[in-house]
Order: sequence, then C-alpha cells, then structure tokens
Amino acid sequence: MSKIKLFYSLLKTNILSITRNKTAFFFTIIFPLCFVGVFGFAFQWSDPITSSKTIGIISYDTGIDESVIAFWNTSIVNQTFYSEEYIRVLDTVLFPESNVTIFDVHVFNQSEHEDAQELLESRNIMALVTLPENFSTGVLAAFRSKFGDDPILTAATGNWSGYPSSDFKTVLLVEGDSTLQDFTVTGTIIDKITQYFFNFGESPVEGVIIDVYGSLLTSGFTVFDFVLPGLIVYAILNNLGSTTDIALSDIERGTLKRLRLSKVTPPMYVFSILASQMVIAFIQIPITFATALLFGFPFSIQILYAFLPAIFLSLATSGMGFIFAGVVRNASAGRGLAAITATPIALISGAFFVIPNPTVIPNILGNSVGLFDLLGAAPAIRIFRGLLLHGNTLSNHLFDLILLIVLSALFLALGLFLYSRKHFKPE
Amino acid sequence: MVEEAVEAKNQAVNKSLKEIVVETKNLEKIYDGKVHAVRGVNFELFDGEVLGFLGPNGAGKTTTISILLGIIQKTKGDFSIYGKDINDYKTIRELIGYTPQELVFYDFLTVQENAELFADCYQIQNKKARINELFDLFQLTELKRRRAEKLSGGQKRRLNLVLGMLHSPKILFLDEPSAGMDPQSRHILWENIERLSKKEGISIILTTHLMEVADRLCDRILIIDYGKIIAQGTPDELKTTYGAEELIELIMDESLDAKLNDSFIVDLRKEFSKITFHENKIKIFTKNGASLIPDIIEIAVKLDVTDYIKSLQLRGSTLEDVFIGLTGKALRE
Ligand SMILES: Nc1ncnc2c1ncn2[C@@H]1O[C@H](COP(=O)(O)OP(=O)(O)OP(=O)(O)O)[C@@H](O)[C@H]1O
Ligand SMILES: [Mg+2]
Repeated sequence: MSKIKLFYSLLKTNILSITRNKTAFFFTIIFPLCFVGVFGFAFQWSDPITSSKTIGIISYDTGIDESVIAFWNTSIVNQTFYSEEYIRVLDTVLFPESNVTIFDVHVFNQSEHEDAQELLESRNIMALVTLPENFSTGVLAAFRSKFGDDPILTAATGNWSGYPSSDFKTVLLVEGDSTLQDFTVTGTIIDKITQYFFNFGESPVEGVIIDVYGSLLTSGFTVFDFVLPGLIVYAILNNLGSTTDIALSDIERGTLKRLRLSKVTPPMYVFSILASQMVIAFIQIPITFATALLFGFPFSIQILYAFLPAIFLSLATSGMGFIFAGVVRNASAGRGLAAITATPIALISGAFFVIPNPTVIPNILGNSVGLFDLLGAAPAIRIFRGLLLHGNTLSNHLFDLILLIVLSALFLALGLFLYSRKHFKPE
Repeated sequence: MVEEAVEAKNQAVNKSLKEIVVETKNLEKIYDGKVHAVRGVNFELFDGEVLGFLGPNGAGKTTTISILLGIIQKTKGDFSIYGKDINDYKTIRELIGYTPQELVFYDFLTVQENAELFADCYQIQNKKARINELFDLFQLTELKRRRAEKLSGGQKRRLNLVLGMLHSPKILFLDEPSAGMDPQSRHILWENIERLSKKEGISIILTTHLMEVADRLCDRILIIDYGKIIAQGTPDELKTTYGAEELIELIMDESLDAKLNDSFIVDLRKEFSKITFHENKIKIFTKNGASLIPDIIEIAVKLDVTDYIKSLQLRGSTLEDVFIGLTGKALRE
C-alpha cells in the first residue's frame, strides 16, 4: 500500500516538474495547441477536396468468351468487356451531395502508355490505372466467389462451366506519386470504387495502391484535417525533452542521490517517469483534439482508440529521452539535443506532409517497413490518420500497432541500458 | 606504571562496551585515476557519538562520507555500517540519514511537498506528525506552503537538514550543516544536534569548518588534510597534545613596511620555533609565554617596529590554533 503511495508521490513530482515549469509547460501543452491553431487558422478557408481529379486509364482487358454469359440479360453481367463498365463508373461517380464528378477520366490507347506515364510524372494526371488482360475474367471470378453456393445460379450456369475458379486473382495497377497528398486521396477513392464495383463480397481484385486506406468520407477533407493526426503525434513527440530533462535534472540537483538512499528502487523511479509522460500524453490528446474541433475538424468517436497507440508512442518517446540522458554530459545539453530532434523526427515521419520513405524491410508479415517507420512516430501517424480520417478501428492497423510496440520496447531497453549504466552505478 | 596500565585497560573496556556503528579500514579514493582524494583513512564511529571531520577545503571529507553512503565507489580499503558490507545496505537503508553539503530538494515543490515526498520515499508511517515535529524544531512551520526556490539561503539549509531526518535515522551524516546559517539558526541547529545525539542516542558524523562548533558539539574530532587523518581525539586531548599551552598573538599595523615586517619575523624565528603569520597576525606558540614577552619587545626595539605593534596578547590555545598549527592553513567557511 505504501509502495503505491510512494509511486504516486514520485509520479506527482514528475508531473509538477512540467506543469510548474513555465518553459516545460509551454512546450508540452501550449505549443501543440498553438500549432493546431496556426494550421487550423491557415487552412480554414482551404477548399475541401471536392474538385475533380484528372486520372488516366489504360485497359489491356481482352474480355471474355460471350458463350459463358450468353443467357444473362442484365446490364452489368451481360457484357464481354467489363472494363468498359468499370471506366464508365469511374467517369460518372459524384462527390456525395454534389453534382461534381470525382474524376476527370482520360482513356489512353495501349500504344499511348508512355505518353500517359509522362503525364503522370509531370503531374498532369494524378493517377494512372492500368487494367490487366484478365480484368473481365476477374469479374467473373468475383461473381462465382460470391454466388458459387447459390443452387439456382449453379444450375443456370451449368455448374459454373467456363467460369474461372473462385480464387482466381487479377491485379489492378494504380500508379501515382505517394508523396502527394492528392494522390493519397485519389488512390483511396479509386480503391473504394473498385471495391464497390467488384461488390461481390470478397474482391478478387488487388488494388495496388501505396500508402492508402480509406473510405469515401475522404471526399470532404481539407489539408488541416489531413495534418491534424500528425500534430497530435508531434505533441507527444515533444515530450522527448521532458524525459531527458527529468532524468538529468534529478542527477544535477542531487535529488536522485537522495532518492537512491531511500527505498526508491531504480525500476520504480524509471517507471514513475514513464508514467508521468503517459499522463501528459493523455492530457495532450483531448486538448489538441478539442482545439481541432474548434477549427472544424470532424468529430470522431474513434479518438478513444487513439489512447492505446499513444501509450506506446509515449513509451518510445521516453525511450529516446533516456537514450539522450544516457549519452550527454549534462541536463542542458540533453534538453538542447531533445529540442532540436523532436521536430525533424516529426517531419521525416510525415506528421506535416507525406515524405518519401525508402523501404528497408520489403516484406514482414505481409507488410513493408520504411526507413522512417523505425522511429516509431510514422506508424503512429498512420494509425491516428486511419482512426480519425477514415473511421478505422485498431484492427485495421494491427501491423503498425505491433511495429510501434516492438519499437517502443527497443527504444526503452536501449535508453534504460544507457541511462542506468551511467547514472545508477556509484561513481 | 601499574596505575597507567590499569587506566589503559579500563579505557579499552569502556570502548569495547560501546558498539561500533561505522568502521573504515585503509579507505582510499582516487578519482578518475588522478585525484587522490582519500589516502588510507581508518576510524570508528561509536554508538551515540558525535564525530567531527575537520579539514580544509578539498581535504576529502565529503568524499569519505559519500563512500560510506554508497554514493561513490571506494578505490581501496574496507568499510562497514552496523557490521554490514555495502552490498547488504538494503536492510540498513532506513537507519541512515544524510544531509548533503549542497542543497538537495525539488525547487518547484513547496517545503511541505518536499517533506511529504521524501517521507513517502522512506514509507514512514506517521508522516504528518513527524513532519510537523521537525518543522517545529527547525522553525519551518511558517514557511511550509512556500516554494522551496523562494526560501532564503539559511531556510533552504534547514529544509535540507529536515529532509535527511524524516525517517528517524540512527546514524546521521551531516556535511557542512551550518553553512550559510545566521547565529540564531546555528544555535537552533546545535541545540537540536545535541538533543538528537544525547537524548535519542543517534550517532552523528559531521563535517564543519567552524572550530567553535567542533569544540562544542563533537565528542571526538578527526583532523583531515590531503585525504589523511593527521590528528584525532577529543577536543581537549587535541588542545593539550597539539596546542601550545600558550599563545602570544601580535597584531601589526597594516602600514608597516613589508620588508621590515619580514625581517621582524625572520628575527623572531631565530628565537622561537613555532610561529605562524597570517595577514597582519603573528602567532607564537610557546610553553611559558609571559617570560618571553621581554625578548619579543627587545627584537621589536632593535628593528624599530615597536610603534607598529597594534596589540600584543597572551592567551591559552584554541582548537583553531591546533588546526592551523597542524595544517598550516587558515580555515574559511
Ligand atoms: N567527482 C570528482 N571527480 C574528481 N575529483 C573530485 C570529485 N569530487 C571531489 N574531487 C576532488 O577530491 C578532493 C576532495 O574533495 P572533497 O569534496 O571530498 O573535499 P571536502 O573535504 O569535502 O572539501 P570542502 O570542505 O570544500 O567541502 C578535492 O581535491 C576535489 O577536487
Ligand atoms: Mg565537502
């Protein structure tokens, strides 16, 4: 019981060291709010993305044998080239509650592929969709996969004779510059429409889109909306300095000496710092979110899910803070180092805009890991975006969550090793 | 002869009856392979005793205490507290109290919050009562709601002291507890230290630069210089062994020509073996001072410096004289 009291006392002291220190309070609480305010204000009048995006399409579809579907008489299935219908859908789909088409579609001949590629590179078209030869076959496969068990259809098609097997897959290529926010949005919508088109349940089409997940809700978001999840992560990243500061000030002040002579054990001391940072993060999330709401960010109950990744982001950040505390000579050097690193980390992690992220691990558990993902903030940003912009749940981001947990454990282990090696041993 | 032997035996018996609480054997500390701060220190602290570490700046007092507390590592030698090796300190942690030479607490917490935090760190039971008791003793009650950073230097000292005693330790290490205190605060401190050691039987090791304090409070004194114990004993023992029985102190006028002053000292040295000279004070340690004054006057007359002698005093020696006689340095706080 008195152990809990002891832990609580240490935790309280660590939190007070921030809230009662003007500079620390500014950096952890006021500064992120200012950032949200500045972004919110600057982009308040920016158009939501409701203007048509120009995209290109090249079809290599060879269609299907008419005999397979001879007896059908519905508008969708009764075709030999499903690609035509797909292109028509892309060309006519409208923004919700609007008569503006989402896409301005340019269809290229197969001979014009290179021209299309050039237009993509010069950003005259936002995305280039390439439909493969077996596109139509893929539609049939999807159809069979969805209705294969239906006795009436099975009888009518003669046990699906002539149909591709239901696990047949076709690959749809969507190319674009993933560093562009426009492509992120465009790709997301194409992906979604493709899912709707193959609306036979589990889609046999693999939309190859980089950095994209989402829903048609995306049609309404502004630059500010896009940036906000990154700002929340940035706020938590800024706590890097607090951990370094607490850990080193206790040494300089001599208070660690006093604590070590008492019943405070090293794990208890370290954990009280980690816990204080989590508490701060838990304060930062609702206040930055509330500020964002004032600037028109759409409310989403998914914010509640954000607390879980925030725990691990906070741990990863504290881990880095301990690494700094373990390598620098004094507190002011530590504070300086922390202050100049938090912002670049946020930047390369894509907190403010998407940044090219070279792949270092091409395939692990079916996902690729980029170089800048290794700092922990990038997966956190993706999770926060998914939650707040696309209405996802944590299960949509299991890989990023696992990555974040693993990274936070690594940072903490390294940080605590370096820190305790230097400061928990008698001189 | 027989009487002496009996006396020695009695002393030995008395000593052995008292429990040894802290013991060191040939303790040494070399910082970074360079600074030889402690060079073979041997001593015991007996139960209920106040032991003073007296030594000039950089003598190795804080280093010795820090080793005993386990804050820094020894280079050589052995030590134990309550017979326990440093590795078994866990069990005696709460028996040890420490007041560092620097002011160590959280500036951004109030006096009360600091006390509560460190009380919790020792998981003490009757926290409120103990804090109030110490605040009353050290006159901090009125200040308890003030942020520690806003206290005056002496008030900070008092807080620093209280934080080391919250858990009612049995051994107290006080490193320069009186630095920066006014005479009133110092007086309170001395009274409290006496009360703690005599009534509560707490054993205390304290370092100080104030001779007056060491003389009055300490049962025994270790004079430390350059990392070594150069003398030890009760204040009285030190005075009789090392102090001259008498001291002639001459205060010279500042206007005295330096060269003349020097030749005066040179001539005095020819007559007297133990002389110290500091600023404008000349001290001559001797056994029969009164009979020597005419000799001193004679030398002064010969050099024609009699007009420059502002005062000439004869007095019994103090601990400070012993100290300066031994270390050749004047102590400053
Ligand atoms: N961490 C350290 N690294 C290197 N040298 C040190 C360190 N701490 C102390 N010293 C040196 O060791 C010697 C003894 O220092 P110590 O602090 O023990 O002296 P002290 O007797 O307490 O002096 P004071 O009366 O000024 O407090 C000094 O020369 C000091 O410069
Ligand atoms: Mg000292």
